[in-house]
Amino acid sequence: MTTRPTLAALATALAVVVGCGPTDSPRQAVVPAQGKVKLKDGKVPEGAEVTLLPANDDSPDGVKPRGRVGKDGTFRLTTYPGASAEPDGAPPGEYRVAIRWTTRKRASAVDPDEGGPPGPPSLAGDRFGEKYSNPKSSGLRVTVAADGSLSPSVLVLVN
Amino acid sequence: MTTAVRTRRGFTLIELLVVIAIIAILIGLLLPAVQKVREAAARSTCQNNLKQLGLALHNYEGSRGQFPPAAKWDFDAPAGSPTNYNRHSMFAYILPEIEQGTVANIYTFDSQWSTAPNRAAIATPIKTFQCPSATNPRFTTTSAGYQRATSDYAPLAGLNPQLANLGVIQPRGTSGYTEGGFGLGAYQGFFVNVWKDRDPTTRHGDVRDGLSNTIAVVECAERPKLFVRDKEIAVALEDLDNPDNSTNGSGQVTGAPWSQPRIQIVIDGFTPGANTFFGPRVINATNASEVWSRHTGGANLLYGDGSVRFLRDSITADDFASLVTRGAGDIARND
Repeated sequence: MTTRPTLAALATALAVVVGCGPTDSPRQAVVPAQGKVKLKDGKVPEGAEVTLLPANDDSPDGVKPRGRVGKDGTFRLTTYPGASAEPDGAPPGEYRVAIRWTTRKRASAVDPDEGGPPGPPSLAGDRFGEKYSNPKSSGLRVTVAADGSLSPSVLVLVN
Repeated sequence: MTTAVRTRRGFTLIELLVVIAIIAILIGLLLPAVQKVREAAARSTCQNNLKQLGLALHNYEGSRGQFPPAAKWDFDAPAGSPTNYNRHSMFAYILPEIEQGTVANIYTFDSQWSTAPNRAAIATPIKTFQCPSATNPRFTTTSAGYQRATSDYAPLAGLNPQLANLGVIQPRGTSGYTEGGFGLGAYQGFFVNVWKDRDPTTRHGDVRDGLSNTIAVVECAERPKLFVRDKEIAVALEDLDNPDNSTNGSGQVTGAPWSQPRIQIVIDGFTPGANTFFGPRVINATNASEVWSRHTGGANLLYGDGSVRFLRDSITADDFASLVTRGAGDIARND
């Protein structure tokens, strides 16, 4: 009977020893999630970048599900990028939302030798004027339900 | 009789085994030491490369009154033909200053860096642009079939202001984004990106935090392969330093050639466990346009004053941000 606590103590000690060194926060279970944004006038901010920040977790290495707005206004969230560019989803819960729209109004020619579409580095001006770039002050919130649906289902933005 | 036996006596098996064992132990002790010396030598060669880049930058500044741009983009050239724009990397500007006059002579700024007139120049590997600890193939080959020599260093243009918005670092002021412009406001780093050659670049007076407190060139080794921590991984990461929404290919990073404008980087922070940007790690977390080196425990960095320092990878994102910004009024704590 006494061996069991001893074993448990040993296992704990081992876990502590193994756990030393840099540890990653454990990955959370994700559900495929997609939402929709549109402008007040009904247009779509194609190419805008949507970043979710957990409502109650400000730790720098917390999850930050992200997605790009497509032609039809939908964005699919990726929490843990994998080998394919296919979005994996987001952990259910409440989030604050940041949206930046830095794609240029005028598309330019594509040079395949650039290794992808060309573009100026980092983030030209945000076409929302930074109104939604801070999730704490953007006023946008979404909840990811267990089935992957987002509420509100459409975020309406003012350009 | 007995004397004859004694003189003919050799070693016993045990004695031989003991000797071999001792030699094996000695070799075992020596090999790691040799490895360490080799790594130390590679590290100091790397530091010397950065030092040369620092001298080259200051030579350039001395003759022109301003530093070269992180990259010149010429973005609003008329759409249609890819060669209608005309882009160049920082490294192309300093070729004459690092005694690469022959490459500089065959490199033309009148033509886009990747077009036919420049293909001989961009295929030339340049030792000063390579860290000897890195083992990358030193070339990337395009779909069109020509080669481009790579660099393990990258000019640093600043911080992604989203790092502050998402709470990873302290806010430092307004981002100062302008429509179509490249300015990062309070998050601007040492180098600036410009549209045209006539646009102003960095002058001494712009670096208000002090040249010795501002990082200019960083290590970003082993591109185009993608590494997270010290593992090569097959993950498709977004190219955040490019707003046209491209995703790097799985296990790939763009911006490897020294001649490619996209070699310039903006610090985005990284969370290695989740493979996502906007995390707290800034050194040796990933080489996807972040600071990453083959050296154990940190990376070599060239500061604006021409000094080269080794920064530990345990540095916090906020302390590092203070060293990246050039005029935010934030002086980093001594490390």
